[in-house]
Amino acid sequence: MFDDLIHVFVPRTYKLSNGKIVKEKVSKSPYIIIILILMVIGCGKIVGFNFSQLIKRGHFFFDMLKKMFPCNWSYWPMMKKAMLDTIIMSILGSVIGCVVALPVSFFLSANFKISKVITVSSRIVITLFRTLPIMVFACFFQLLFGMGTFTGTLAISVFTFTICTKMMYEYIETVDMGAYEAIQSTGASRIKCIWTSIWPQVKGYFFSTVLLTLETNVKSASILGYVGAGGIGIVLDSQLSLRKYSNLGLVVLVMTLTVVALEFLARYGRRKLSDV
Amino acid sequence: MIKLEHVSKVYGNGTKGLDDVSLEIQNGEFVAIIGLSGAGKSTLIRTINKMIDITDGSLTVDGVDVSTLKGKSLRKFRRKIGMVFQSFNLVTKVSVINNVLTARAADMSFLRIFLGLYKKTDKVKALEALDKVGILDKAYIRADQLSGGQQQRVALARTLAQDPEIILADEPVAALDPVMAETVMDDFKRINKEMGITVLINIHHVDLALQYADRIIGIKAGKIVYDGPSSAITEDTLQTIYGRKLTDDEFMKEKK
Repeated sequence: MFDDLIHVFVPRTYKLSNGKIVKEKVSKSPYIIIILILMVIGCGKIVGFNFSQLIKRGHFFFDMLKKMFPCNWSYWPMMKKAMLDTIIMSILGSVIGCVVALPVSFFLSANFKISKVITVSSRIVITLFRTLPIMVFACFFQLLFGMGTFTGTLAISVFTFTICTKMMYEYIETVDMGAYEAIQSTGASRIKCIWTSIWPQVKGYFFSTVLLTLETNVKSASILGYVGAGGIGIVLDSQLSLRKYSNLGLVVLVMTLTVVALEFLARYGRRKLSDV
Repeated sequence: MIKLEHVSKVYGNGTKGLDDVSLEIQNGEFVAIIGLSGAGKSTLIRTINKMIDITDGSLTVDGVDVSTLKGKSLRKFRRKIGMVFQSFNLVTKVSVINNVLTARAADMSFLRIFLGLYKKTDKVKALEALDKVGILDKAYIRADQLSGGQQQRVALARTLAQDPEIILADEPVAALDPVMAETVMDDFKRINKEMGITVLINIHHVDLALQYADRIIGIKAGKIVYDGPSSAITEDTLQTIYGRKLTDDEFMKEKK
C-alpha cells in the first residue's frame, strides 16, 4: 500500500514475461492536488480563517438558534410592511429591468446588422455595469434618491437590466433568421420584422428570464435594507443590533418561506413556459 | 417587366455571383432557373428584390431602377414581390394564420402588429390565401406541427396574402418528397395561370422545370448559358449547363 503510494510520484518500470519493458507514465494530478491544498491553507492563513475558532465558538450559533426559536409571533404586525415591500420591490424591479432590457437586447444582437460600432460599444458599457454587485447600485442610488423602497426598486431594476440584456441578446443571436428574411422580403420595416418573426421565437425564453431574475432578486432584496434601500433588510439590521433574537427568528422564518415560495412559483412558471 | 442589363455581382470575398447577365422577363411568365449549386441562381433571384445589391449594370422592375431604392421606397417596392424559400422560413411556434398574416405587416401600423390586432379584411385575405393552396383546415394549428409540404404551402399562402405581382421562389421544392414537390409546383402553376403573377423559380429538378415552366434560364458560373422556351431544351444544352450529361437516374421521373 505505502509502496504503491510512493510510486504515484516515482514512475516504475515493468518487465513483462516476454521480456518487453514498459515505463510507467506518471499523472500530474497528484501534484496539482497537493498545490491546491497548500493554496487553500495559505489563503486561510492570509484572511485569518482557522478551524480552531470555528470549533471553539461554533456552539454559540446553536445558542443563538435556541434564542431565536420559538420565535416571537407577536412581532409580525411590525414587520409585515417591510416584508411586503421586499416582495413588491423584487417583482417590480425584475419586471421593469427586463422590459427595458428587451428592446435594448434586440438592438445589441449582431443579427440585425445595425451598426457594429454602436453594438460593440454599448455592449462594453453594459458589461462594465454588469461587473458591479447589486449593493453598489443600492449605495449609489441611496445617495441620489435617499433611503426607501424607490432606491431599492431602482437598484434591482438596473441590476436586472444588465443581466437580462446579456442573456437576451445572446439568445436572440441563436434564433432562426429565415422567417425574418421572409418578412423582410415582403417590405416590412426592421422593427415589424423583429416583432413578427423574432419575438415569437424568444418570448418563452424572455418570460423565463423574468422569473429567473425574480428568483435571485428576492434574495438580494432582503439585504438591500442594510444600505438604506428599503425592505426587510432594515428590520433584520435593527433587530440584530438590538439582540432581539426571538423577533429575528420570525424575520428569518418569514424570509425563508417567502424565498422558497417565490422560487417554487418561478420554477413552476418556467416549466410551464418551456414550450411557449 | 423585369429587365437586367449587364448585371454583375461580386461578393466581398471576391466570388463572382453574377457575371454580365442581361435578360428580360415579361409579366405573367413562368420562368425556371436551373444550374449547379453555386452557379448564381439564388443570387440572381435575390437581386430582383434587392435582398442582395448588384455591383454593376442596371436592373429595372416595371421601369423602376432597383439599385436606387433604399429605406422606405425599397420596402414599398418589396411589397409587390413575394418570396418563397427552400426552408419555408415560417415563424415556428406561431399558428398558420398568424404566419400568413405577417405578409400584411408591412402595410399595418406598428401598434397593431405589437398588439397582434389584425384587421378583419386582412384575416379574410389570409384565410382565402390558405384556401387557394388547399390548407384552410390547418389555419389555427401551429406552423411547426405541419409536414414539410404543408409548411411550404403556408409559405406560398403567405406570399399570396401579400398580393404580389411577382413571386420569387428559391428552391421551393428541394426539401420535399417527389409527390409533394409536384403538388407545390401545381400550386405555382395555378397561381401563375389564374392570377397572372410572374413566377421566377430556382430549381434543381430538371424534369419539373421542363414540365412546369414556359421558359428556362440556364446559368453557369454566374453567366447565362441558355435562355429560351422549355420545349427547345436538348440534352446538349443540359450538358452545357451542368458540365456533363445527365443520366436517367438524375431525373425524378422517366424522360418523355
